Amino acid sequence: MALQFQIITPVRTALQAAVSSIQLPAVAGEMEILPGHADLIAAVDNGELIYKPENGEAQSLFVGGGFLQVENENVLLVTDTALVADEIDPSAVQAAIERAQTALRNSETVLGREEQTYLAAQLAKQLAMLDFTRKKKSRA
Amino acid sequence: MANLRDIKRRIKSVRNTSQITKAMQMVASAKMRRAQELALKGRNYMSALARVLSHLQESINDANSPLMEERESGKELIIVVSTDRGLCGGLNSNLLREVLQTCPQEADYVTIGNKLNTQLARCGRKLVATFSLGDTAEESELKPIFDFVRSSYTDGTYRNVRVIYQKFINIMVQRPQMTTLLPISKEELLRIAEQDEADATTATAPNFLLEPGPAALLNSILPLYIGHLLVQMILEGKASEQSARMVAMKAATENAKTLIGELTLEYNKARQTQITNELLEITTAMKAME
Repeated sequence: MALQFQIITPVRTALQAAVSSIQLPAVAGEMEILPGHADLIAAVDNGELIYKPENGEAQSLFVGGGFLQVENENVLLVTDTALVADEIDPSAVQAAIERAQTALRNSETVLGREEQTYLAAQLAKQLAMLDFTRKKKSRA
Repeated sequence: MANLRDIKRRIKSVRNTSQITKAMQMVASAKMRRAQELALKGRNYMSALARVLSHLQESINDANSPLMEERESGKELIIVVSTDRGLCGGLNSNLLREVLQTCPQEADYVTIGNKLNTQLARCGRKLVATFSLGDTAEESELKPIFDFVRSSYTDGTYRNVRVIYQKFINIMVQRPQMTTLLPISKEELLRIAEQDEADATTATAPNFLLEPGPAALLNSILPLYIGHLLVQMILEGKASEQSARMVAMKAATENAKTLIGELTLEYNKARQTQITNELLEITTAMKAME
């Protein structure tokens, strides 16, 4: 019995496949979903998601924050970003990190609290993305 | 009989106009394809998010997020999603008519796209803010809108927030639609979730494990949901705008073509008359000389 796994982002359906296991970074900690999992809704953090197709090699993706729903062997991940390593441009990510850092450093007094949290969240996401690409590269 | 030169000048100007409308049609159709794709994919995402959220709501009946709180007092806020540019047929005037018919006079208004600002002001509606967006509606452009809406709702200024926009049905049809953005109602969530017909399991409401706790989950998912609901409606508005423009420009190009045809006919007639007249003059002169 395989899990029906679906990743939906605002711009596309990033993945739709039958898988035998999923590892993902939940907010409360790393989590693995196997067939027969109890119904669950969990908040997901930035990080690396590893899924194993029913017959094939394990694949990995970068996912942004979002929500995971497990219901009767149907797994649905709703997230703002889902990218494979090739789709991430490390230099662009690096540039985005620097932009966010300078914005945060220079304008602590000017920015409202909401903007700061927004920028910090963006920064965390970019850093996680960079981390992901580095890890991929070192493995390869 | 119109002067030959005048007709020629008119033909030329109509031809120029038709070239412009033709170009605009091409641009609009390219943009439309993109906007349409975004809007349709976004619908998919929304319904997935709503599906998760509707389960949560069943699990957490008495959660009190400030975004779900219903109030008796306060004003209404209406967000009108119009366009920044004109030349898109009756899109904006239809929207305006709908606004005037269905929205209360005393509500506050926010416009996205500035095409309807003067008309709304002329009808005595109170505009509190107006935003302009590029074609793709980037996240950074949308954030100020969202922040404005959320803060003015949570501080109790408004009793509810509604959005009126042109829903994209297909290229020929766009329909004004009103959606309540805040407070979040359960019925609304279920309705959006049900639009996704692939999901037949929502009827059974199993008990979900929630991680981290219900309150934390709800607090992070609700702002996301509201944000995307708004984004979705803006994307629909964009798709409607581009397709309406494309259709309008196509009609304009065709009209120009007919007009050129008619004018050319008139031009040829006038030229023939002139030639006939000249011949007549020559022969009369010859007759007189004999």
